[in-house]
Amino acid sequence: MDDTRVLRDVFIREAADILASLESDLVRLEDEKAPELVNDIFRYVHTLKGSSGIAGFKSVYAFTHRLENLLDMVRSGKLAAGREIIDLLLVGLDWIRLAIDSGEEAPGLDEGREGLLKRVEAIIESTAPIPAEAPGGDAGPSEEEMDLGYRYFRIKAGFREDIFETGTDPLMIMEDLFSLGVVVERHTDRKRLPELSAMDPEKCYLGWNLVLKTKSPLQKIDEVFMFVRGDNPISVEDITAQYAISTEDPEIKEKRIGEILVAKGILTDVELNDALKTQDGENTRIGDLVVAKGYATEREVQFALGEQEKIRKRIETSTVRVDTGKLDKLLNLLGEIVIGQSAIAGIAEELDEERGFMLKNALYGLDRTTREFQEQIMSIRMIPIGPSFEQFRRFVRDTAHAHGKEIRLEIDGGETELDKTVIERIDDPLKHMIRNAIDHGIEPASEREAAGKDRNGTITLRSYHQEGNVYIDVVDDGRGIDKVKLRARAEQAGLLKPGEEASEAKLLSFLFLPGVSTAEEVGDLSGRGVGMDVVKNNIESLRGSVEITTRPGKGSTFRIKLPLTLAIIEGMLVRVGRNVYIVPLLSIVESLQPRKEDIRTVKEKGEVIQVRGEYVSLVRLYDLFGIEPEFRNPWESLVVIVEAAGSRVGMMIDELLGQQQIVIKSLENHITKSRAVSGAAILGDGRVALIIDIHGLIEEISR
Amino acid sequence: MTVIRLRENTGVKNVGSFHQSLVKAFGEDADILIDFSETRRLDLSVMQVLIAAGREARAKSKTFRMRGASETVRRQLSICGLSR
Repeated sequence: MDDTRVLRDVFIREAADILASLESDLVRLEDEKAPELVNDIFRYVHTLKGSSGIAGFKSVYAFTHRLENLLDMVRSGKLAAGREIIDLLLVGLDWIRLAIDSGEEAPGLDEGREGLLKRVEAIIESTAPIPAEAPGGDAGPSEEEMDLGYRYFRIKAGFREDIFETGTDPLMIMEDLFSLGVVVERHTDRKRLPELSAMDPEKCYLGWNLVLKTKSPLQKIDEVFMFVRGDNPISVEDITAQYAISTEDPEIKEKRIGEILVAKGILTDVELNDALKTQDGENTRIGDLVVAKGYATEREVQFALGEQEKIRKRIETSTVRVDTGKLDKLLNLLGEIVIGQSAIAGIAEELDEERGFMLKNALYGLDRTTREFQEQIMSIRMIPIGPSFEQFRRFVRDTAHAHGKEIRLEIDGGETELDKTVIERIDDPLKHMIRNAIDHGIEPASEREAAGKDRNGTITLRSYHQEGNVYIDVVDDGRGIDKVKLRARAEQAGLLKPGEEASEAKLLSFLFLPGVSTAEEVGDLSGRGVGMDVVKNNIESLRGSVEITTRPGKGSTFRIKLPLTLAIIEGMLVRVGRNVYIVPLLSIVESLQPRKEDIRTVKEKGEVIQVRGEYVSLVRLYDLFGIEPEFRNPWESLVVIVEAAGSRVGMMIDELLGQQQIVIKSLENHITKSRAVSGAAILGDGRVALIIDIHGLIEEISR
Repeated sequence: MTVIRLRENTGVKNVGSFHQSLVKAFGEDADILIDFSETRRLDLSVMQVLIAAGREARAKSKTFRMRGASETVRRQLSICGLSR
């Protein structure tokens, strides 16, 4: 791949992340009006501009340049970030996305851009300036505004002599870097620069060695250099510790308190110098001095002391990007080690008692290590769900506006981590549930007011760990689910007989059946009774479950329970004939040996087994997989009762072999296209065992 | 006084002619003035020529001045250590 192609690919990947963050921050800005958000948004657009220029996306570069002008006016307080501007910026992001995805070749792209730019100009010309704040009402910066959290980075940036030939301007990169904070030390390296007459002006000679004071994390600094790092001598070192204050040196400590106060705009340099002069020769603390002189309040000094402590305690977090394919490979290799261990354990069984005991003891130690190793690898696959939640801010905003509603999205527990694969596959179900909540969970503003509620509705996305599972709650503060109406719909659909008793849980479970909805009208969004069944199926395919709780007039909660990872399961090994299968332990209800009289054949249901008065379909696994069993009569074999999607079936097996942790290996339709098989695992003796997908099995037999 | 006026966007594509103009100007007696009033931004290739020219001027005790720098250009000069 040529360099330009690589640059473009890197840019496309990075731009997707930047656009997602931008979108979320823009929606938050509409509610929160925080100056930090404006700064972040400006910086994102600035980075997009710089990177798009380097990657050769000329239209995106020109467009983001104009957006930057608009944002600069917002940042400087000349324009208010009202709904019109946020709307425009969001549509602008859509345009940028389209431009990048289509390689700037989508039809109508230029017209779209021109239309948007006209709106930008119109806003700039027509928006009245923001009135200045009334004097006297300023109680000083809030703690949030005073938040420091600065880090210091030593950055050495040198560039190849021929870098201009690639179309890269290192000055643009340095401008981006400088925009991230304050440069407290700078040395422009000119050693390589020849005399004027001897220089080749098309070669690059300059470099930098500087210290940047910034709130941005190391990752942000790295992003600035992402397009040049591979070929050029660039180093970034976090040297915050060198800048942090030694507690043994009171003089430096006091100076740093002064620096913090100046940085927060509480003291001016002149006031600080005045206080320091007074301090000379006196054993007085600078904080006390500035309070005594009336330069700062006690609270402001306390805040600065707190910030000083934070800086000292700040721990560096270094991160690297790793291809998930490499992690999967690592996990597979570890799986091989576990298989090897099982094989050795098998040999230990065959040795004499003393040698076998010694070998098993050695294996226990190894087993502990491999389990810990496995946990560590799994933890690398875990990513926070926050970014996935954040992407719904725009969705909630736009969808609510389309329905004349004002709905706020609150996010709680965004730091909760779960397997990357699970996160990728939970988006659609979440979107569907949020759409339902917007469409008929949250009432129109007038109805809410009449009920004594806040005009604006709230949807909360909450995530947390509990008992080895991850829970995601989609909570709305709307009208709740009308159980009377739901019952009527269930009766219409023939799911309940009139007058038949049904618990609340059973009633609510009908919502997950195809064709059941409580919505009066079929909306653009939902109400057709199509979708919640798909949601449930999707969640169950992730080996998860979903349940609903609702309170009339107060709202509803959809609680999704998910496994931490899809890569490993606790499985029960079962034997059918000479083959071994794995049944996910979570799906097993019980196992039993049926009596001959418990086996019946029921019309339209086929062969069933009676378990405590309930008929459960019987599945002869040997028939399904076309193999030779040990037993053909159910009363001679064992039956494992499993459950998925609210249905139970009994699987005929010859023997239960025991449970173990299984590293799932994907089959990718190489062996079977049967939905009843979800993957495979390699056993200790080297045999391959298929993992039974209970959800797929039930679907397959119900056809 | 030799006045060298930079274009709206001066960069690596036209730095060669700017460099040649400066080399020529240093070969003459007159002081040198760089006029940025039409310049929106510069790139690093131009900055390097300016730095080398500054050095040359100090070595030859020649007056070398700049004028009309926009906010952007001033910021760029500052990044390259040419704030004065």
